[in-house]
Amino acid sequence: MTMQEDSKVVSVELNVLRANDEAAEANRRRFAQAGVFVIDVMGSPGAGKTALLEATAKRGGDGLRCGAITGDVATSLDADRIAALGVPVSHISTGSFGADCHLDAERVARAADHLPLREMDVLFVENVGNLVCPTEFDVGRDARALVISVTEGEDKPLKYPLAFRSADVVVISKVDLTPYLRGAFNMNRLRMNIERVNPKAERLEVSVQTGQGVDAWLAWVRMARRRRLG
Amino acid sequence: MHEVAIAENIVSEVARLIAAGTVTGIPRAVRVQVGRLSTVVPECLDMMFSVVSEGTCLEGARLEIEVVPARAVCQVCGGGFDISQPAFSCPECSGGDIRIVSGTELKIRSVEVA
Repeated sequence: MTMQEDSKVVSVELNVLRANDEAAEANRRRFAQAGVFVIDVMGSPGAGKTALLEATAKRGGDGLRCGAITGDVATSLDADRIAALGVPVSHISTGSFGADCHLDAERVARAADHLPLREMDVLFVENVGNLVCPTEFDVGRDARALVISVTEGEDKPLKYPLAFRSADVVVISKVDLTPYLRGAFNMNRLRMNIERVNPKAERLEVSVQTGQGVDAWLAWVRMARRRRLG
Repeated sequence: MHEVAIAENIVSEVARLIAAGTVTGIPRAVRVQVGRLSTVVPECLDMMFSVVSEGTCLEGARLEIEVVPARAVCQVCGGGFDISQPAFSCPECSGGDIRIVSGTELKIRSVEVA
């Protein structure tokens, strides 16, 4: 660092995202105290995040009481879809004209104020559709599910390695479309690419249209919750 | 992405330290570490910083960015290696159980004051 003679350097050593990290920890404590397991759901726009939550709600969460916080740049369409299924939802609009590309802990804390946490077992936080920005921001989650649809291509794990590495479970969605993709998509290669970038993540293959894999998804949610909260 | 938010955070963290008396004097420069694996583009952060620092305690201060390389250690064979491409496995033993030891930093190291 270049310095003037009359200047001095004050050591700071602080994370730039300190405020968000502290808010995330406070969220985690609050949710754990209320017996709520929090899953951050991320994926590209159109990957099938909301559809997965709808499928979860339609199955009554397999006995787990569900809630959701949805985030979007504009509209409350996702929240409306989930609310229509009787699930308590709180919506965050990050700004109608190109504002925030991710959810942060502070916003999630405020949204959670509107939810009956004590009557909830699992809270799904559906992030803004984006495979880059949400990676950096902890909202106070216990686990992260990354949804990637077969129509996005098998190279996406290699293009967005940090997002895939941040996931505890990778849900490959819309698998019923695989026959229509023929030579344009190679499922084995997608599995391998996910494995290459994040060998520790669980991998599920789901179609909310046919119901394939939905049981396995619910079983994963239940098991992950039990591991964290007992 | 979102370098505006990161730049704003840098300004607000330093403002907080000034209010607390930890940093006294006129800030001339802020040194930050940006890891290669963070989703922050240094050039973009630099640009956004000059914009968002206007009218704040950091107006006119330089932003000095130290880019930290991405390195990992293999939990299987113990070998250390640079991560230069999105294959997070050990180049020696191909093990997938690796621990990232640097490259995810987004840190304010120090503030130079006059």
